[in-house]
Amino acid sequence: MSEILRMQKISKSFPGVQALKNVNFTLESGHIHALVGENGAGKSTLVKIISGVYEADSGDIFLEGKKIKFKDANDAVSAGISTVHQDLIVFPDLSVLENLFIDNYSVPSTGFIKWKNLKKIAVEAMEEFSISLPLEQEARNLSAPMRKLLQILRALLKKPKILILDEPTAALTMDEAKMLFTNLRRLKNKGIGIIYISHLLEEIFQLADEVTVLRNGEEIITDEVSNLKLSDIVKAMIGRELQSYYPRRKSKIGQTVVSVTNLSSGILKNIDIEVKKGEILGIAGILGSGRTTLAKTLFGITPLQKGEIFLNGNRLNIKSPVDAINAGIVYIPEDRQRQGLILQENVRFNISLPNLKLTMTKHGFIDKIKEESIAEKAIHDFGIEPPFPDFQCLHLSGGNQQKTVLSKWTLRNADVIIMDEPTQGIDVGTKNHIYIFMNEFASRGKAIIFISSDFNELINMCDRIIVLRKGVIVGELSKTDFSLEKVVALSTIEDVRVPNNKVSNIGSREYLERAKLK
Amino acid sequence: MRNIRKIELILLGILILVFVIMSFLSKQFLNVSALLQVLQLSAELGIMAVPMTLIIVTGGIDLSLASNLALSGIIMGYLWALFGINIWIAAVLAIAFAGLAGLFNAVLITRLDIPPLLATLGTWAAYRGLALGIDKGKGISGFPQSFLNLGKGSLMGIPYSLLIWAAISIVIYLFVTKTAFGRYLSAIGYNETGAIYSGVPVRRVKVAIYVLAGLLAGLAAVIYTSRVGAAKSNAYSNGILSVVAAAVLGGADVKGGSGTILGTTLAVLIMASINAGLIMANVQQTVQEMIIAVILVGSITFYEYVGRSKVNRSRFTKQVKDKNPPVYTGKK
Repeated sequence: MSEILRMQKISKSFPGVQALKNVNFTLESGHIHALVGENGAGKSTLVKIISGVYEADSGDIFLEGKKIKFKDANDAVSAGISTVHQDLIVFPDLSVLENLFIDNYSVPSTGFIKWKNLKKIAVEAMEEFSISLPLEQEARNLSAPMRKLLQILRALLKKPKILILDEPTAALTMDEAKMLFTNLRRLKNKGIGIIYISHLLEEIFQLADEVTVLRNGEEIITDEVSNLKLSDIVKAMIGRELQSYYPRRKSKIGQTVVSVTNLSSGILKNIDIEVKKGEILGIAGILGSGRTTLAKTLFGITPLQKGEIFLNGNRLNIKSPVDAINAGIVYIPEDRQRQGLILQENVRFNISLPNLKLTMTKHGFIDKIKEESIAEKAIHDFGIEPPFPDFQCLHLSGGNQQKTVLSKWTLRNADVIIMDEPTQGIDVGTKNHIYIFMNEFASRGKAIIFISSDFNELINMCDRIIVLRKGVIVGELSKTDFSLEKVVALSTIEDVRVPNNKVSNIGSREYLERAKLK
Repeated sequence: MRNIRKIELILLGILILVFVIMSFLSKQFLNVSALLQVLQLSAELGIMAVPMTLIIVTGGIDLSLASNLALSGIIMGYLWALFGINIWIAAVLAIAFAGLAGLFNAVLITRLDIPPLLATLGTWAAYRGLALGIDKGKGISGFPQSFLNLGKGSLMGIPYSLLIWAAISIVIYLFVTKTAFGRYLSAIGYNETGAIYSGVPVRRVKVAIYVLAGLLAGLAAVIYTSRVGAAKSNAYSNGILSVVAAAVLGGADVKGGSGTILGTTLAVLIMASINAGLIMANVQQTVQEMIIAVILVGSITFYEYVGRSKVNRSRFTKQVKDKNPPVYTGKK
C-alpha cells in the first residue's frame, strides 16, 4: 500500500473563525480513512480543501508525492478526487443513465450526445464495481440507498484515485447501510483511497482502517482504528470524558396529557395513542411508516380524516399549527433548515417568531427590549454558539441550528413536545445536550413524543416505544421489554404483528429466523 | 437577503441628487407650491405602492391594482350618476367593492393555490374588462364641487391627497414595524414552509394584504377621479408598471423577504420628482415610460449585484468590526 495523499500543516480561516490549524492528513491507497469530529470541527473545510472548493491559507498538498495546488473543484476532479456529497443530489425526472452523466456528457465534436457509448461505459463500470442500477428507470423510482449508489457510481465514472464520502448513511436504514459497506470494501480492494465522514462512530469500527479526529480545527488523534476504543474517539471529539452518552432520568409519570383515538390521516389507519405527563414516548418505524404523518396531524399540518385528539381531557379541533400551538402542542420538525428555521433571518427573529405574543406590550406592539432579553436567555440556556442574537441562522452549524429550533419551541409552556429526528446529522456532544434537554422537559412534566430512526437512542431515552409500519401500530414495548432486535423486527419485517401488546416472543432468535425464511 | 438600511440610505442620496439635477433643469422645480402640485400627481402611486410592497415582501405580487382602480372608479361614478346615491356614500361603497375585488384575488391565491403572478394577471384583465363593459368608454363627469375639492384642495398649502398618502404610509409603517404582522410578512417571503411550521397564520396574513391592497386601490380611485374630474374605464392604464417599479426600486425583493415602507416611499418620491422634472422640461410621455422601465430593470440589477457581493458578507462579519477580531473557535 502506498500513500496517495498527504496534507501538511493545512490552515484556513474565515472572517472571525479559525477553521483549521496546522492539520496533517495522510491517505493511503486501498484504505478507508475516517474523518470524525463535532459539527464545526473543520471536517467539511478540510474536505473542501482536498476537493478544490477552498484554497488553504497555508500548508502543502501532495498527490502521489507531487506537490499540487487546485484552481477549482473541476481541477481536483480531473486530478482524480471525487466527492459524494451528503445530500441526495439526483434529478428525479431524468433517467438513471442521464443522471450518471449529468456533469460529464463528454460531447463529441458534433455536439450530440452518444447515448450508446455512455450506456456502454455505464454498464462496464457497473460490472467493474459490482453495482447494479436500472439505467432506463426514472431516478424518482429509486430507493434512498439506490440513489446513494447512483451518486457513488457517478463519482466512480470519473476514475478517481480518491473517493470522499460525506455522511453516506444518513438517509439509509441499517440493512441498506450494510449493503453500501460491502460495496465500499470492494472499492477499497481495487486500490481506491476512501475518505469517510460520519457521525455514527459504530460505522467507523466496522469499516475504517484509520481514523483522524478533529476538534475546533485541530487534529487531535490519527491512528489505526484497531488501536482505539469507542470511548477514546468520543473523548478526542468532545475534549472530555462523556460520563454517560444517554443521560439517566428518573421517570415521574403522571396522568394522561394527550390521547389520540381511532385516528386516520394520510397513510395512518386507526391509531390509538396516549402520552402521559413526564413521559417520553418513542415512535419507531422506518421511512414511510407514517411516523412523521402522525406528528404533522397532531400539529395541524396534515388534515385529520377521522378520529379524535384529546388534551387534558378536552377534545381538540386542530385545523392548523396555530390551533395546535395555542392548545399547547409544539413540533420540532425533522428538516430544521426548511421547516424549523427562517435561515435568512437571525437567531433573535427565529426564536421570537412563534412567541411574539410573549414579547408584546398590552397594546399589541413588540417590546424590543423584552424580545432581546428572551433571545439572550434562550441562547444562554441552550448554549447556542456563537452567542449573538443577531447572528444569521444560515451561518450557524447544524447542531446550533437545532438548538435554536429547540429553544424557540420550549420558551412557551407547551404541554406536549413532539420531536421528529432531533439528533439527525448532529455530533455526539450536541446529541448529548439534546438528550439532557429532553430529560429536563420530561422532569418538568411535559409529555414528549420522540420520533427517531436511531433505535438505540429510542431504547435508551424512552419510557415506552410504539412501532409503526405502513401506517399501522404493530407493537408497543414497555421499558422492561426494550431490545434493539424487537424494535428492528417490528418495524421492518412483514407479518410481524402483535395483538394485545404481547411482545414476549418478538425479536427472539427463533422468531427472527422464521421471519427471514419467509 | 438584502441590507435594507443601506438601500434606504442609497435612495435618500439618489433623491437629493435628483433634486439638485432637476433644479438645474427647471427654475420652477424649487418653487414649493409648484412642486407640491406636481407631487400630487403621484399620490395614487404612493398609496398603491404601500400594499404592493407588503405583498412583494411575502413573495407575491398584485398586478390587478390599477385595473381595480379603474373598475371601482367607474362603479362609484355609476352609483352616483345612475342611482343618484350621494357621492360620498358612493365613494365608500366603491372602496368596499375594491376590497371585495382584493378578496377575490386572495381567494384565488390562498384557496385555489394559483401563483399570485397568474391570478392577478387574470384579474388585471378581468377588472379592466368589466370597467370597459360597464362604461363602454363613455366616462362619467360633472361631479359636485365638494367632491372635486378632495383632489384639488389643500390644507395649509399641502394637497389633501398628499396628506392622505402620508397618513396611510405612516400608519402602515408603524403597524408593520411595531407589531407581529411585519415579522410574519418577511417570514412568509423567505420561507413559507418554515413560517407555517412556526405557527404563522400564513393564509390569514395573505388574505389581509390582498384585501388591504384592494381597499387602497379603491381609495386611490376616489382620489384619482376627484383629481381628474371624471371616472374613466381607461384610468391609470399603464400605472401598474410604476407601482411595481416603485416597490422594487425601494428595495423590495421579488423573491420575497426584503422590502420596507420607507424605501418604497423614498422610491415614489424619486420617481415623482423625475416625472415632475420631465414634465416641467416638456419631455414626451413615451420617454417618461421608458425611464420608468429603465428604473425597474436597473434597480433589480443593481440590488442583485449589491446583494451578492457585499450585503451577505457584511451580515456575516457584523460581529467583527475591529482590526484584530477576536477569533471564534467554537467552544468556550
